[in-house]
Amino acid sequence: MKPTKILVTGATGFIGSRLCELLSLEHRIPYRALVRNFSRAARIARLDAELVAGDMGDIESLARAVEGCDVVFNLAHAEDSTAEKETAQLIEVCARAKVRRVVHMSSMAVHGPSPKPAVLTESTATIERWNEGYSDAKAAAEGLMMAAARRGTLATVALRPTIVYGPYSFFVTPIVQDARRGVVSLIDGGRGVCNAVYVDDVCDAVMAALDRDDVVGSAFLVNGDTRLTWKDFISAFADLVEGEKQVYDHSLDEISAHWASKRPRKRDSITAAVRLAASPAFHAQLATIPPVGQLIRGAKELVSRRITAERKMMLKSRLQGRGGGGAPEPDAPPVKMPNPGRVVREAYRSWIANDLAKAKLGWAPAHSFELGARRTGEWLRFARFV
Amino acid sequence: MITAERRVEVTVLCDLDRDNATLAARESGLDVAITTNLADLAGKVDAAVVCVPHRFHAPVSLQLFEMGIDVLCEKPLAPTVADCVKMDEAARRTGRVLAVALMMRFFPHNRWLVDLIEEGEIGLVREVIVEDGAPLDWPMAGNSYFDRNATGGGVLLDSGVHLLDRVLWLFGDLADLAYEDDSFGGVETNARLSGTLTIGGRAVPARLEFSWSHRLRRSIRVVGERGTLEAFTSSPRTLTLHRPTRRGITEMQVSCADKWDARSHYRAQLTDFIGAVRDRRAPFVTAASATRSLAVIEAAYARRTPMAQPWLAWKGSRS
Repeated sequence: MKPTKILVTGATGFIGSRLCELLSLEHRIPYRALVRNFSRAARIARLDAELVAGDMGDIESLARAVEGCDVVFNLAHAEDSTAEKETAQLIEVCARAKVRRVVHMSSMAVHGPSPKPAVLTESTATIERWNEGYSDAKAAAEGLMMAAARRGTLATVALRPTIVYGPYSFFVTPIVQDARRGVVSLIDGGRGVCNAVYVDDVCDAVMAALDRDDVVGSAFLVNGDTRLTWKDFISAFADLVEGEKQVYDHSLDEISAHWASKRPRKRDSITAAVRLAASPAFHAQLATIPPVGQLIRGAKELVSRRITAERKMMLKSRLQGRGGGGAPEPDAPPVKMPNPGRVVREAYRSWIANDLAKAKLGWAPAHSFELGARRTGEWLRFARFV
Repeated sequence: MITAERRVEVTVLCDLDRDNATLAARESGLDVAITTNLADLAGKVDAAVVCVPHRFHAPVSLQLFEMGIDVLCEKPLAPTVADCVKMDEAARRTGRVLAVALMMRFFPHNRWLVDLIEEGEIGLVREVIVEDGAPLDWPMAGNSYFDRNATGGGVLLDSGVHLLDRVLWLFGDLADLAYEDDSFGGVETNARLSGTLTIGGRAVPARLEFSWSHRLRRSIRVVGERGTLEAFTSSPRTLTLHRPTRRGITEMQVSCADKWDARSHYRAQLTDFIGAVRDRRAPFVTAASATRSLAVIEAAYARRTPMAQPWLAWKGSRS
């Protein structure tokens, strides 16, 4: 189908911004970009795009945004707790506006953090509640979209992209930033399977999801064709940075022991509360309430009359956590310990098949990893990362 | 800062959005009149600080001048040279002060940079390189910042004007202009301007680059045959001198003021404006001098060429 006008939600995000670029430059289809936070809109503002203020949580702004659009690309990422409500609202306004097709950006995460099959397809992988915020929110939103198609309320197609990379990717820039410090950080030897797909290929899949009517109500895994390990992925971008680098290989045991030791203790909460009570910013806020302000000033005067200046400095320094004079801890690790989210990503063991998307959408990834990495490298050089 | 100034009494806050003005009053601890109508300022204020979107600088300032009110106007003075000239003429005709809030002009290291170059500290000047870039993250309530009709331009006009203004003020006109940016019909987020300055009677190439998408050095760097002098935006109190020595390239910090904090230039700007209003003298940053950078920007936009962005590589773009 040829859209008359498209509404893009999540237009200032990583995939959304790229989709807007391609809609403007390649497809030349009229579209409207829904923007919640204009501070993030600089990239799409350079296009001749229609930017409209709106919020997925505000049904009236959604209804205004969808007016006159016959296709919606829903790339907005909801907070875990609001995903269902926002998706339901979008379905409602789209159905009311007689939108002809909604392409919903779901995620490989709907299959959970560590699926069992060695090769994962739409039919072999399950969607359950994984007790993991992001996966569950994505699964719930996709579920609503697919149910709307089953009911005949709305013609929806869901895409489940894998690890999407490319210019501006937050999977790539930390690798380069580490490499600039002479560090390469791997998890478990980088042996995990990296299901990487170039951002333009995801955008192509979005457009392909418009073409056929028999794909309505279906969800498709969208992955690249190049089989990679995380070591391959990380090395490709770290190698763009010249100079010697030290490889830090974190075992899964070492990482889990580290985060177990960081779990908050009762004492940490008390310390944090005392620091908050002593912080000048907190005092300034409190002081805007006139009687509290008078009380604080009175108490400060009383205390300052009773203690010496040296004692006051010492107390302040201790409360603000500067007692050690700012010297680094001798045992501080040279590289940041991978966070649990990164561990889930990089300890992945399944390869994700893209055959169904190829067969039904008539789509195929146009970028080998080599080509995608080259394009990303061009942007990294432009943006002075390398 | 204005409320802390004893010579100033804030009497009115004016904003089309009353809630915004009310919030500003509350956050500043001000008990003042609030209005949404500019005409209400007549007879109530001597001077106004104009912080509306760029394209309204001229109409708002003109109305204020007619009401006998002096103006400290946010930069850029206006999106077009014609509007700048109109504002300057109106201020002169009505006998009002028009100061432009290009606060970097007050940086202590500006004059030191020129003086050290003139004294031969780095020898003959070979090149001037200006960079200013950081991901844009200003809080925004709406899309006016990105509406070309409202702003007149992107990073070159909005951020670039600060450093371009200083370069022109310190070194004189920029000739042989060439310009490229990354706009595809919207506002540019990356801009590169080049041209020729005349320093010490010699033609010196100058490159200026501005970004809203990524970090750049944020400095004016003057490369000479015997060293490099660099004025970092983050350090108005010092200049950095790089000089080749027997020990390799040596970095030296030149102190240009005893004390200068992150608010000092704003205080200096306000003090200058108050002085101009009280003494009926010209402000430090006049409309005429602020218009020079806008003339360059206008000329740059007129000869814009597209910036290479090879990663964009949409189908057909490489054929």
